[in-house]
Amino acid sequence: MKIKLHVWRQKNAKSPGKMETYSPSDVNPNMSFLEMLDVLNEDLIKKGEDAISFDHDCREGICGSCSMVINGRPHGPSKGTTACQLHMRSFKEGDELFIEPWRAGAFPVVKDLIVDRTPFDRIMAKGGFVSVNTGSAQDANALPISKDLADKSFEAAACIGCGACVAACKNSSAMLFVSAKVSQLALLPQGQPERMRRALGMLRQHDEEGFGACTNTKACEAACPKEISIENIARLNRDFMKATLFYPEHESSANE
Amino acid sequence: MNSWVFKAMKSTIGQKWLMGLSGLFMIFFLLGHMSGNMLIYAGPEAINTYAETLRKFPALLWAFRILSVVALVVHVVTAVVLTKRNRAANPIPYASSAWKGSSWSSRNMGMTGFVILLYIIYHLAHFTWRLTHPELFSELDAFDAYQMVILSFQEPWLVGLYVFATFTVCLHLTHSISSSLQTLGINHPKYNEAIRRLGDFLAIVLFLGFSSIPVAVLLGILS
Repeated sequence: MKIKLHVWRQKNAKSPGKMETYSPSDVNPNMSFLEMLDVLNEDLIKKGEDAISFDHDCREGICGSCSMVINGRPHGPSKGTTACQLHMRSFKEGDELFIEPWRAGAFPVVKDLIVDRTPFDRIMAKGGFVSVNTGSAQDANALPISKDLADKSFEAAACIGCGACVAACKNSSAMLFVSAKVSQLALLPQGQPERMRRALGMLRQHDEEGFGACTNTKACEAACPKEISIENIARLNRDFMKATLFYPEHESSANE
Repeated sequence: MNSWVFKAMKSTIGQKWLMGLSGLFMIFFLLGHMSGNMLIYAGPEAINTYAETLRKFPALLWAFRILSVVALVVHVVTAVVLTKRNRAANPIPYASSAWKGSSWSSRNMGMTGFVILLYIIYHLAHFTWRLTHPELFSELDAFDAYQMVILSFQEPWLVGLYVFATFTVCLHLTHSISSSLQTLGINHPKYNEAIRRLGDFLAIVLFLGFSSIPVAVLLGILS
């Protein structure tokens, strides 16, 4: 099949970028979206041009590396799907596609479609973990947890930290990411001791990184390849206010 | 200035709580306001007695007025601060905006909110401060709310303005109710659907209730 691509090209973080047009001619409908870009890149390299840079790793929808907005939608038109799991059969002969990097002030473009997502790492460092001596694995069911809570925690833990929520949000808010990382632990007994300081620390870092505020448009939920629910954002809102009102913050407990 | 209160007020969620709480207060205000207005259908006696009764308790009336102004100011200030932050957070638009993933009203709360703010100022200048139509009201008794409404809405453009403004309120509210509750942490699969429906229902009821009065006057149903 024949398609027309408009791809964001940007040499580096400092130079201004622009959309460039490509017309790959022999696109197989069974190719994944990233394979289509691979083939296009081989062509570009043969012609002595600079290949299109994009993030990718596992190519099986679990690592969260791929990050491109296709026709205005993070990860493209299929619901609950990462760009690497998207196939060219989702498009029609002659389709015109716009491929752009995640757009957010906190995610500056490194090159072409690659953005710097280290703000997520810094947010995680402010409490997205459980501080216990893990030792060897404990017996299964030593800590009784109801099935529905475990499932809810697992649903939040499905977040792969790709940043599609930020890319979809008109405010570039990372609230869905933060809330998923807060919720996966808040729902389990292991997460309780640090629950309050986690919510405070991670949300403050979120704000510091320059992400916007949530206006509950739900665009993040619609774009999320793991279909994380905004129910988690409500939990973060509750935990943050509970922590603000009742958590005694002093030097040693402030996780900063 | 490093107290926990200040930190909370500076945070995105803290500001959203202020916005949600002040917004919810104003929704209750609107429900009360509309219930009062509906008395106009019971005749001049009913609504004028209501207007007079309100003024018999000046302490209560002023407490409520001050609370309403505080809610409005908090709502507008947090809206401006958050909007500035959100715009700064998202400096480059996409070349393709084919996909939205959200409702029109949820994306345009700032715009509808601004229209409503202008309307509130006009509405106060019209009925409370009586600045816009001095010639109509000069000979009226201070408490003759009924005649004030009837005389005002003889002008079709003013009726149009009021219907447009209350429709904007309706658009704002279709997102407001579920959004403010979500911000306050109220979200559960068991009652989310009910909240969404209640939000739409209240928005429509308020629109129909408020806008029916100027239309009824213009059509001669109220005279």
